[in-house]
Amino acid sequence: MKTTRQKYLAPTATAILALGLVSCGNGDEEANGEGTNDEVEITVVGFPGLFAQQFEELVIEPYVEENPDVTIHYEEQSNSADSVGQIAASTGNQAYDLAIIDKATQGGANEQGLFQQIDSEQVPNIDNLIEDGANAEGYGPLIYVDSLTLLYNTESGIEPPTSWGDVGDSRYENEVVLNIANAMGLSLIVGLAEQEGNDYTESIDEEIEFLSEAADQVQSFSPNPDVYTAVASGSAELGIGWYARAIDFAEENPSLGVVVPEDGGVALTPTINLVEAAPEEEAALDFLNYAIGPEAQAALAREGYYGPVSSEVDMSDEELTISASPDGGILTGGTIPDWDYIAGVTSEWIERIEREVIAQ
Amino acid sequence: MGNLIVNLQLLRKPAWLMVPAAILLAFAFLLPLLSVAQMAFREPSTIGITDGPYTVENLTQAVSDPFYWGVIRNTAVLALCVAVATTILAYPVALLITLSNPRIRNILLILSVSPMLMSSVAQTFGWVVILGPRGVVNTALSYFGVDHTIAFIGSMSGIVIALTEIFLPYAVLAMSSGFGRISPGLVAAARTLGANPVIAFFRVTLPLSMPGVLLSLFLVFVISISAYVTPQVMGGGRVFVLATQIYSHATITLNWPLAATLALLLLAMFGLFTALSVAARRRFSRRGVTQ
Repeated sequence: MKTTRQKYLAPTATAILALGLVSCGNGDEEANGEGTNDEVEITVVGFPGLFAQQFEELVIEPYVEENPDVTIHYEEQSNSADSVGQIAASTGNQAYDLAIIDKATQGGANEQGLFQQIDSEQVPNIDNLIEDGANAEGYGPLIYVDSLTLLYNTESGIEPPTSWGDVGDSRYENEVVLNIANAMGLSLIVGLAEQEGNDYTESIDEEIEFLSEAADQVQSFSPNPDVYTAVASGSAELGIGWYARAIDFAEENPSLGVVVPEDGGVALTPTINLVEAAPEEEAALDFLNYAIGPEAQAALAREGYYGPVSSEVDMSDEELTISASPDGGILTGGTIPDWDYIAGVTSEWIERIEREVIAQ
Repeated sequence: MGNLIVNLQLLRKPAWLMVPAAILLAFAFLLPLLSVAQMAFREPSTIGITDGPYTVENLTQAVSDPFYWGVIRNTAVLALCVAVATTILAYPVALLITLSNPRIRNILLILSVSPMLMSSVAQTFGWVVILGPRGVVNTALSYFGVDHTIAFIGSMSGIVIALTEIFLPYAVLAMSSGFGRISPGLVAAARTLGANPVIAFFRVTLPLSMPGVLLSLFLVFVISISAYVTPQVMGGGRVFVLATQIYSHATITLNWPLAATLALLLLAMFGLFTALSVAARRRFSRRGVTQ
């Protein structure tokens, strides 16, 4: 015969667990500050890591100081697809106001109706953007410019690389690290094509063939913990990486050399977008205007080495020269890829890199 | 009839205890699994969102492409090698634990599972330091006159070595719990009847330990086929297994339907191996009863 304790033990345990789970959910909502109406809260979703940290310090914090009634949450997502996925999942009860995503992902998101078109009446600083800074169809403008760059170990005694083609030079046999089954690989293909005067929208056969031959001397296609550390530590002598991240890393690790090839850098151009049905549209537009404006852009360029997208930035030539600026900086004369085109062939290009270069 | 009522009453009590876990599994596993299954039959988009028309093209692509057959083969070979290696290495340890007195047994068990306290990511990076081109092993080999670097990183061998060490405690635990029928008395009886230690092991201990061995092979195989971090790090990007390809399609090429299709293939591998494992366990159980 069941005792009273036995009879009620399991249902009670179940109820306690269920209540626990429910209260955990409620806890999150309270932590997010839901239910308070006396301030404006903007949620920005974007890239993680170093950029998130710099964007908080250099853009969000100064803006909030000037606008104390505004709170800005920056939500890190591992990549642009995850950001877009979060925004799509929130459709109908949108949680996000602004999204910082790759240009290659922006076109598809625009087609899905996830972002709004904006104009210079809503965002006056759009009129002050560098060439190609504004979106031709009126969607979100560029938020910064970065560039693919060559990395080498300054203590290994090797001659510094000068060209994208050096990744296939036998001088660096088994000393090259290439993390190329991603946007870096797409950019490298564009850089190699530009160097040879090829049109990458026609064919990338030559570039894939070159990389396939270079693969024999590649030490790793997945350097750990990342390409910057691998080269700086001497585990490898040559690699490719993103300029702003590399320069920031090199400041504390002089063994990392950063070289923009003679053929010119290849630009990475992330965008900032107003989400469709953003909960705080007016405040979000004001922050977007600040983020692409001269003050925030100068801060990102000075402290983060990103290329400024505002043509109004008040920076010395020296400051501009070491940023990833396409107008006075390291990207001057470099390549700005057609990321809208690349978005349509990303899957095909990555597949060719994996099968014909890495897995050969 | 009376027996049936008694059985139903017995079933009812544990059924209550299963409710919390069942609810959690339904929300955290079953619903996402159904979502993945329907995603696998959608047309891909350039940004990953999967609300296009239904299609079987992803499945056709995955099962007709030799590249993916190579990926499936890599995954199966890796999991099998790791399962066999961990089981062989863990067997003596598990046997020692089983045959020890309770106090020593507990100490040995704690020591055996203590590596599980460390993150598998940290363990993997430890192996990078040991097996890397300028790592401990290659440096030692060069000291002894070996003039070329052995490429553990970027090869299947490096992944097998690292995963074998990482999953060793699971094999010890699985076999320790599966060695319940082994008794020092049975071995002593075999010796008394004239069997030497080797014959006693092969005729008594090994057959009785087979349920534990099969459990270990099964457990390590299923956790190995879905391992991501170690194959990615130790493979140096050169070794493709299903988990690394799923990650690549989900986050880089943004082909979520193909990623979902590969995830279903991984699940199918798991199902197939589970069926084989259950059949093998039944066979050994029957043989054990007959003997």
